[in-house]
Amino acid sequence: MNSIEPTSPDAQIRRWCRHHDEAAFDDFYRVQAERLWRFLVARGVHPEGAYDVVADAFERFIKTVCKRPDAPVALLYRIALNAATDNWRRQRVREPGEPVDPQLLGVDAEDAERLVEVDRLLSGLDEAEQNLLLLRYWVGLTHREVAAIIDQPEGTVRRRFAELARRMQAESGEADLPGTETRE
Amino acid sequence: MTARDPEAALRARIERSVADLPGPDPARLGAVRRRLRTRRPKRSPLPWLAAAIAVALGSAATAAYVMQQQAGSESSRERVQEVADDESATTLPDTGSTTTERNQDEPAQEGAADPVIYRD
Repeated sequence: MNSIEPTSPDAQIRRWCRHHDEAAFDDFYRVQAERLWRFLVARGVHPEGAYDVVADAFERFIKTVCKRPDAPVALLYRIALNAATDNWRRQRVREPGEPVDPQLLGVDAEDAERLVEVDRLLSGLDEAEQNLLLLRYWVGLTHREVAAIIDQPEGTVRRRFAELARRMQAESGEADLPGTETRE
Repeated sequence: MTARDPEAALRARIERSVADLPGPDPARLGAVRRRLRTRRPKRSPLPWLAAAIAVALGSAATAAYVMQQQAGSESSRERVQEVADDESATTLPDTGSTTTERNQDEPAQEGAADPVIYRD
């Protein structure tokens, strides 16, 4: 039996679609909008532009999600990635892998350092790999959901993750962090 | 699975790095939320209403068509009857003989006009 927690994003969107429950959508938005904004900034979108991309993505999301409300978060990120691509084309502020310029980004030095840390972590990865990592580990999507977003078989996604993790660990030479566990 | 899993280690690094990023301004995200048109229309009776109207119109149209046909038939019959009445007054004498003038030497032509009938 397919059980969905009442507070899960899936349940919130189902309630909104079926029962016009605005509060359920608010709950969904509150969590997902912030998470999406951070995802976009980590992917190189200007913090200011990230608000526009969030707005654009949610507008498109609202128009389509109720047709198939079974994986709303995956749908939101699929839409957001397209919107982010449009944003990069329009603004050309910072492409993936470009160095972080605090002045250009309009953030203070401390925030810029944090961006540099993310940038350092993701540098050397191509766009698809950055998406894989962030969707899986930041957004918390399953392999299957990530596979649906990037239009690849689930097995391929699993293999790419494993390879990517091994490669990054080898490159960084960093010791494994204690207390971390995998989840699916 | 243990912490030696490279995926787990990578996950921890990603989560930590992204969580440490400067967060969005809640007021800005709130403004975005307010601009979103999420108020979904209540299930409208419109489709049912439209279907009922279509059926009613269909019935009405059918009925109108039938009535029109019937009316048309009746009027046709009436017209036919009127014409017949008129014609009977001019061409079909109830009694008496009729004479047909035709040059007997000329053969009757196909498609030629009907012979003129004179009333006595």
